[in-house]
Amino acid sequence: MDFIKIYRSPLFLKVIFVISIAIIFFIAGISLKHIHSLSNSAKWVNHTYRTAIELEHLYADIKDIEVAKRDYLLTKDQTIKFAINIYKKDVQKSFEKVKKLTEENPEQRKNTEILEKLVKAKYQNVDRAFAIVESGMHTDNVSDELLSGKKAIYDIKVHVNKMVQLEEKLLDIRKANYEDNQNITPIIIYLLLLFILGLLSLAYFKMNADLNNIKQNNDVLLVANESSNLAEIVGNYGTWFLNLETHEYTFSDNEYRLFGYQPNVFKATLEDFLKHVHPDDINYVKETSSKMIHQEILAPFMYRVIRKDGTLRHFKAMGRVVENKSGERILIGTTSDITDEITASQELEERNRILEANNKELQAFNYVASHDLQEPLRKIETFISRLIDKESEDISEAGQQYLTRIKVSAGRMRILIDDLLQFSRTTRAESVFEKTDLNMLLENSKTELNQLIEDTKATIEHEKLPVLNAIPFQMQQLFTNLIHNSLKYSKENIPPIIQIRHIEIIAEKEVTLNLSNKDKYHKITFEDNGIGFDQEYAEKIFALFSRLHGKTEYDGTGIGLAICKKIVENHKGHIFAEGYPGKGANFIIYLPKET
Amino acid sequence: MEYLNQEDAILPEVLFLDLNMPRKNGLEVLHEIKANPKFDAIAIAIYSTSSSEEHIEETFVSGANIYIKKPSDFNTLKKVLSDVVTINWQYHTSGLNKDNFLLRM
Repeated sequence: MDFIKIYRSPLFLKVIFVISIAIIFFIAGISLKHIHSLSNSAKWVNHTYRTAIELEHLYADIKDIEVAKRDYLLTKDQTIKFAINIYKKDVQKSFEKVKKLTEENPEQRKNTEILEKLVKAKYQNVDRAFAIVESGMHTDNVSDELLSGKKAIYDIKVHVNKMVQLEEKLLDIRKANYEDNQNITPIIIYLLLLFILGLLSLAYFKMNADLNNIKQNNDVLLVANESSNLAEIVGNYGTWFLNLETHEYTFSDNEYRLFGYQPNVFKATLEDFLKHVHPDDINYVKETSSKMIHQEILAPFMYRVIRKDGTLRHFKAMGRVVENKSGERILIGTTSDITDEITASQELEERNRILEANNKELQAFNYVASHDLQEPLRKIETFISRLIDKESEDISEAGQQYLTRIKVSAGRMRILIDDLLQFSRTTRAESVFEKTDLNMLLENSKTELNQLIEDTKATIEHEKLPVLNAIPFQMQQLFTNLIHNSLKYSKENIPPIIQIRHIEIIAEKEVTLNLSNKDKYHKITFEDNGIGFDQEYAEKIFALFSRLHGKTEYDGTGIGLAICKKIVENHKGHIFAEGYPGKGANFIIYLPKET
Repeated sequence: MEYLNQEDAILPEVLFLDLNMPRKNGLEVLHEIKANPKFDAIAIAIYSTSSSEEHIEETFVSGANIYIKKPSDFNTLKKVLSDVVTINWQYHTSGLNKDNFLLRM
């Protein structure tokens, strides 16, 4: 596992590189040493032979001197003396050479010194021979002289041989040493080369794998690049980069298109960018962009630009500073063309404004109309009542009937106007929510409907209702309307029974609610034993002015339940109706339980 | 208002004030009357077609003594007037609250 990790890391190649270089240097060093020792050993062979030759030379010269001495003893020729002097010079020369060759070896140097002494002794022997010749011949002396001369020559020969042998022994030691080296070095070099070869192959595979990886990544990158280019075109946005170290800008292709250019037609710079910004926005953009470099994050901001073709566009930009792998800080930003969105939202705003104004006007109209309509109506009613009370005797029977009809119609109109007013008041939900005890409101409603309850002999049973945040007068209106509704649509001759129940429920468990959250609701049910209605009208009955019965059967305006719905909606609740023809009706109210 | 502001005007005990009037509306008149200590003794009965919560609330806060919704029946009108005239104002005003402010019939 660890090895794989190391193998994958970029460090691996570097390590291989360093090791290889080190080994190559090592091999080079070994080779150099090897070559050096090779040339050294050649030198030593040479040295040994030269020493031996010089020594032989020396010995030969000494021998020549001995021969010349003997010649002199026999012939007494004076010229031989000169020859001996020439030989001595030769010996001297050879000596110097041998000295030079042997100065590095202390043993040889000593031997050389001994040799020098022997040679000097030989010279004295020669000089003695000369003295004998000059002082007259004594045969005994001559034979002694010859013997000692021979002995001296022999000593020299032995010594020279000893030196040559020593030199040859040294050569042998060196040769053996050299051969040892010679045998080991190539094996080491060979093994090291094999090792390097292994390392290099490993590196090769690694590089190959890396190259493949890079190629694959490149392919992926190419696709990603292309898709981001496409996305930019489709999404109508462009990207730009600002290298905070070099202060160089880079624009994406679409960034150029946003400004109305072909990609890369000019070099991306801040100046070129600012050239296109709307003159009124330049200072703002400059300020914001200098801020963003310091804050490292560019909150979305909007500005206007004038494109190459002179059209005005709205842009929105945002950005963030990121650090790349080389440690350079780069501000990456996007610019999107939000002109369409701005235009659309402006249109929407305008439409909203008009709608709101319309709505307000309508409400005001509704309110004012119903309010102002009441006064003339009241006058009509008052004077009809005056007519009926005071003048009825003077009016024909038909006229009286007409008057009654007028009175009924006027009454009906008043109810209509009252209800409309009520409805418009519930619509204008300006009232304040406050903690409200529903039990108290229910009592108020019962008081309000006291007369009707007594008339119909109705019973109203209720469970304990909650205390919640509500608009009190609207809640009371709701209760009044619902109870009134039940009383109105009761069965003839059967006293109505209204049961009001309360339970707390969770939205998702209530099928009728059709909600899938876990919000808690108060469920308040109004159940009666009245005439009921067909379930298919369950939704319709909450619509404004909708009535299921003719106005002769049951009076009413068709506004009551619409008000109920409005009130419940004002409280963010839901209202449903369940009808069982001939059996009764249920009205179910869900009011959110505040947390 | 012109009459009331006269030096020698006989001040009424109860003043019926309509809200919807030409030139100056009832609420403005109410504010003027209440701003002048000279009229402190006058009981103000608001007499209007409107029964809107806002009007009731506003006039109550501004210091009216009772709010009467104009009845549409003459007999009821007579009853209302006689009721109002016979109210013990001292007693009614001292125990005034929002619930008995609106005259119920």
